[in-house]
Amino acid sequence: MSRFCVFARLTVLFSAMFVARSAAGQAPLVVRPIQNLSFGFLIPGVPTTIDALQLSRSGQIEVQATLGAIFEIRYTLPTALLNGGTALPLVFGSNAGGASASRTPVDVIRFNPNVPTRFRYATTDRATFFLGGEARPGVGQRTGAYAAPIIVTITNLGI
Amino acid sequence: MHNLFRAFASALALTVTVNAAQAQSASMNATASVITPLVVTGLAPLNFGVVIQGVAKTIAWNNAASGRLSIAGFGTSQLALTFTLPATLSNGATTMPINRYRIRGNGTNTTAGATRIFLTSGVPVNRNLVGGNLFLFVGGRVQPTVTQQPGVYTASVMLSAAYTGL
Amino acid sequence: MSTSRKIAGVLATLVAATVAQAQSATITATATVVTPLAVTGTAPLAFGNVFQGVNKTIAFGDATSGRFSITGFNTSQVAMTFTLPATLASGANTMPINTYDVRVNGTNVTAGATALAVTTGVPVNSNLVAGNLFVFVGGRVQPAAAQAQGAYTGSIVLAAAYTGL
Repeated sequence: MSRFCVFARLTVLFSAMFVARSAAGQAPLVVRPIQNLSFGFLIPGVPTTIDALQLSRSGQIEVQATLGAIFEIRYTLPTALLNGGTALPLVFGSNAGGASASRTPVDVIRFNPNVPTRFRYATTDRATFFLGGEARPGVGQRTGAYAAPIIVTITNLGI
Repeated sequence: MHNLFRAFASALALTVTVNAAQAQSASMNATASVITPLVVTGLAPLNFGVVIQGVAKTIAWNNAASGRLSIAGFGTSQLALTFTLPATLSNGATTMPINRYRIRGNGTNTTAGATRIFLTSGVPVNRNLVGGNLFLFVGGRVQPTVTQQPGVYTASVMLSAAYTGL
Repeated sequence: MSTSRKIAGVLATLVAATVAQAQSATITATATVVTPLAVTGTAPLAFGNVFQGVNKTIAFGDATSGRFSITGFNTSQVAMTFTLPATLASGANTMPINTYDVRVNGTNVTAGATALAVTTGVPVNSNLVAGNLFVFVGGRVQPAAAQAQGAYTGSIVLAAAYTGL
């Protein structure tokens, strides 16, 4: 019983040292997927736009870093959703990206998800990055469920 | 570069020296379901037939003369139904009150098992399709006055339906 | 762009999308207001004097046939229900009456009247003509050979109601 308690304390100390060393060199950065970009039901021939701040539908990730961190966010965006071999065109406008620490329009910063964009955490250590888009089903679009992956790459550029 | 957040914009560094850049990736999906458009059809009028001056007349939702509409769409999708229910029928400039609407919906074109839809004119209420269909049965009451001018009175009952996305 | 502008833009997009997906249909609510029906017995079915053991028939077109008039709304359909007695009575004595012949016409003349297949208590439908319908009733009495003398009477009742057509 006594030995076990000592061992546990040593482990905690070791972890604290590891974090401190990491912060001094390269700020740790954590990316958490929150939800997919969901267009819901689409009618053939009727384009549907999801705004970045449409919280129930926009694609969302959370990026946690340290105060003062600078990083670049880069989206690999599909040009179409797919259902087997059938494509449904997608368009991401220059205003389709949004970043917010509060998840509200109050502090949102709009950005173009088609190009890499750099951010600096001036007053926060985490923020949510929202992605909207426009789906353009054709008049004769085949019914069914369509999907495509979106890859978000965050590059930590230091403090 | 965007400075999160703007109160510290002046502190923004114009150049960033990149040392051993650390990259992380995450992925999400973009998804959509393409569904057939809604088709809303008026099947039968709400027909009160002959009414007598001063005698209110009710047509129940399951009466053969009740109004009927159908909606065809996708699977079990949820719809927002908006009825526009007139408060009067008209015969030229003469009107006659219509009220006490009773509306029920069913997945099949039968009144048996239809469930009541509580609604207010112009206020959307949600219902799900059943196997791609929803049938609506409309009853109501007219109230001719004792001096109601004889003649044929009509009005439109309109149903608008839209997918809610659920 | 101000915050309020952004919010307005989002709402406008949402509303536009909803409208694009909405479909509508209309049905009509209709009612026809009519004046109440008035049914009047205008003449009795009078057999006059009859002789013991001798049947007597009054045709619907005879001057003494029974007559009703119905007034109502335009060409509305009415359901007529007749109560036709099987006997006439004079105190405790009865005399059979049968073989009714009922006809209707839009005017108060027997020429051109059409026959109604009438069973007592069973509604039969006919349409008003310009708000009127006239009913003519004939029949036959069958006095027995030993029929007691006296005045025999019975009631023929006509009830009418709109069918809604």
